[in-house]
Amino acid sequence: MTHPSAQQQPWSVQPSGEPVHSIGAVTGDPSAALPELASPVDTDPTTPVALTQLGRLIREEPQLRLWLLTGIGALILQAFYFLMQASDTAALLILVIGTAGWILRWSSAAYWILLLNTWFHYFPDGVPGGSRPNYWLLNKYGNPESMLAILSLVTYIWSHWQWISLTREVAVVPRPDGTVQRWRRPAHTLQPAEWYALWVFSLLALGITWLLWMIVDGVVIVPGSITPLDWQLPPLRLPSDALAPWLTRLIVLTSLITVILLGYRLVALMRLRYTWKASDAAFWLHDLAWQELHREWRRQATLQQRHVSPRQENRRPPYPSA
Amino acid sequence: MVTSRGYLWLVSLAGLVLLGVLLGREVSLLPTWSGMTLLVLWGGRCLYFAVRAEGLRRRIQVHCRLFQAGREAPVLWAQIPFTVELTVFNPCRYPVLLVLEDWFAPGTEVVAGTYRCVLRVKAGQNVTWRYQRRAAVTGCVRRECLQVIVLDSLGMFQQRWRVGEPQQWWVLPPLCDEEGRQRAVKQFNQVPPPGSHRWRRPGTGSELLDLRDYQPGDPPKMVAWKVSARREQLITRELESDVPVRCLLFVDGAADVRLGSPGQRPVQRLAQAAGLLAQTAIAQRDPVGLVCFDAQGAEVLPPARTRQHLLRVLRRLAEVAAYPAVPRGLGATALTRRVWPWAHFLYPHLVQGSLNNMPSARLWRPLLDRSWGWFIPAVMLANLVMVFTVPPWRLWAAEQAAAFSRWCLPQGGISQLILFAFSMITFLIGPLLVAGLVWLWYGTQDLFGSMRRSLTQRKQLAALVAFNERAGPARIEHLLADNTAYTHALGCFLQQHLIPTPVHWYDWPQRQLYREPAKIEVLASALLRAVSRARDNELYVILADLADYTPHLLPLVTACRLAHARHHQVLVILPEPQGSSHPPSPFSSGTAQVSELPSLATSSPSPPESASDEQKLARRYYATVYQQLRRQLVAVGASVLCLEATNPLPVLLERLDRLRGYRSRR
Repeated sequence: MTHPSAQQQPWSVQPSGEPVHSIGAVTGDPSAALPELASPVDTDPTTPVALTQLGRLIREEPQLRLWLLTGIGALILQAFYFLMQASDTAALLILVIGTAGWILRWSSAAYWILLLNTWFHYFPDGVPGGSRPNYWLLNKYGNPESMLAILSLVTYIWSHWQWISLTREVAVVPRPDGTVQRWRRPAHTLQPAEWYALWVFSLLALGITWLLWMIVDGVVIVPGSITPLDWQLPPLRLPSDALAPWLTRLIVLTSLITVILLGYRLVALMRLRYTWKASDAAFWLHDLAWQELHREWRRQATLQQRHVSPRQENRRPPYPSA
Repeated sequence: MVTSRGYLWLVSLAGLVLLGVLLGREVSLLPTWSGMTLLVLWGGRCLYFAVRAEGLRRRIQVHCRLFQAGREAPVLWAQIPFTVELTVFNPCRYPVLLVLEDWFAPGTEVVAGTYRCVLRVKAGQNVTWRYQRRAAVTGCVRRECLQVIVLDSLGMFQQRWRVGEPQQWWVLPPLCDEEGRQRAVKQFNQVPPPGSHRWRRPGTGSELLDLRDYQPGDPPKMVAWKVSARREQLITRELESDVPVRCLLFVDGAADVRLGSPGQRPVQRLAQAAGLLAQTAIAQRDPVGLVCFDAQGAEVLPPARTRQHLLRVLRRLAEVAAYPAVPRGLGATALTRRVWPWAHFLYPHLVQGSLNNMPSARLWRPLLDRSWGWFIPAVMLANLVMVFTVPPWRLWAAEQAAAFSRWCLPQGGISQLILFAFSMITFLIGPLLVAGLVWLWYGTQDLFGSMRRSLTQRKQLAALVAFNERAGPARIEHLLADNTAYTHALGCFLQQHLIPTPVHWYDWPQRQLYREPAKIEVLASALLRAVSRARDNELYVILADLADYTPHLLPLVTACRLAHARHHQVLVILPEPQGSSHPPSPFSSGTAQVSELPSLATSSPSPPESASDEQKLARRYYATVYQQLRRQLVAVGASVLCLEATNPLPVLLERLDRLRGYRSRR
């Protein structure tokens, strides 16, 4: 279904597979007068949506409503989770900061929610040194509630950044005069597939995380042993000469990230010729030729010095005429 | 590729994961798992975005066409809106979210539609996008590129490319209307046909000029028989000449008339006025010629009256008015600072570090290239020779080291022995160490800090300029070594991309850098050459900025005097400096306000009330030099007018009609 405001855009969309050269014929007289954009809310993608126009935009754009409801649902789920953990302060703070962040479009709201989440998990009473046992200490490798809590947090974060991109800014482009151009994503470019992608990618990320943690937490490093790497899942009794668990986790996780980054870099280098355009390759060859040329000139100058011995300051490469 | 939002988010997640890994399951697992999940999600989106963006970059296709008056236009006309049609084709198998911005060089304004938008282009889909622009003054329109920004929907990643090669269209001066074509009314019933004008010199026309005594050789048909009978001696009739008014336009293209913001440069107003004069003259079937001059020389288009010739004249005027002045008085560093943001914006992929970087080896400053540089290795060598071949040197070093260690640590022990060893080495090869440190300090001066940045930027700009010039790798080395060539190349870069030189019209000290007195001599010699080849009844219209050249006007005054002595007309038109408003930002591509059609007034300019003090002073100075100039040229029979930006242009046309012998309608 095409949104009414999309039909009034000054561009025309060709059906799939239409050859490029037939566009002029299809779209009619090129010099015809162009319609002005009708929607006063979503016309200019370079300005943020004003607070007064936010309600109208939410009414007009069903996809935007969907994301808004998803984010609010995730926020409420987070609050319920903390209420279940008997951290009323956390639930209240999360609701207040999350809602204010959505209304006022704070980019920092996501950071604050993440910080609150971490803080109240480590200190359920809200202050360090509380006596209440942590709910999560009872869960070793996750349960449905814990997975749901993580999913709600991920959903909130994703929806929050989507909301900021739709109403405030999604890209910042520097300009030659020192200013920056801020771009906002118009709401009519939202697609239903993005909402499904949220769930698919979140579940996938959660699965990968679970697998990673199993690896990180299950490895035991025993320096000096014949087999320095061991596997204990769950690690009930560590050998006396094994590394501390936090150090083992740090080493394994750092090694994993390093391998992933290096592998990505290697693949990127191998795919270089597929990612470059012809002009990039021509420029690279041009630059490489300059470096080789400079080396040759230095060699020539050194050779000249042995036989002719000119003044050092006058040794210059044979420049072409300007 | 990663935006500032993405980096900040990544750092936050990495901190959270690090904290969770250190604390582990002993405290709580959920923050760790949340952070890791978000980190994995971030990494996955990064990979997903990189693969899609790189795939799109090589395949995306953009076509641009310009239409004016309903058809595709190879050249444009000023003040008539033209339609820009852009077609973006996504040949990939996935949809993409794109920010598109059609980037034109300064000098045009958007009159309908929008030149930038955010689109979601589906797989295999064409998107055609049209909007209208207008070039208000003559010159050229340069379309730099279509800036494409591929977006991540969460704003964590973005990639910016320039798609398409720069295109350029000449903008011809505006077509004159019916008033310009039929400017004059007939003063007499018997007038020559179009293209011929009465000239009060003896000739073969139809109007009687005078009667004189018969001289042998006069044709009998010219004898006035009735008058001869009345006076009883032969009297011969003399008729007026019917000649065309050949109009020769001299248009100034020197550097000082190219200063200013787009649409407000004097050369553009002069070219526009010249185009109007040429159209009016050819509409009246008068031949029109064109002489474009600057300090280097003059180019001549001989007078003709055909339609093709008119188009040639207009095209040449557009070429003259197209480019701004090359900046002067700026050093290599200042020019680099000015060009770098434009290069980074217009050619983002060609100045990025992965493709265009300065090798670190080139940043090592070679000491031995200096004539005094050999002193340092000589010291080192001498020190080594002394160590190995002069025993007293070793003895002296040992004595000094022992004395120093005893003085420092009189209690003795292993520490004294270690100190002795270090002191011994220091005294023994001290000069070598000092010389080595000096060599290291000299060599690494360019490796760090601002020097490294400036040298790298210079190399990147040199490589970009050389690549655009198709000049080969030797050109890069040339630009790196030769400051003059480098500054000239950067100035040409700015000129080629129509980036105006930021010199205000009232900044007279700065404008002095752009003065070219040689153009007066070029103009005078061109005028003399035209006079020497002229026929009867020529009209010379000089459109030039002569206000700053009153001490150098002697050759021009002489040429004007000669033209006047040969009964030709000379009209000098000066451009008035632009009004009191500050020129708009050179970056305002989409919404640049361009000036109105230039017009003429015979009065000297007066300062506006809202102008600042320096503008008032500049206007007063200009009024003074204008009066001096006017006095000098009027004395030799030339007419002087001043182009203004506010008053109507018909003043000039009326003046030309009077020079032609017509009486104007107005």
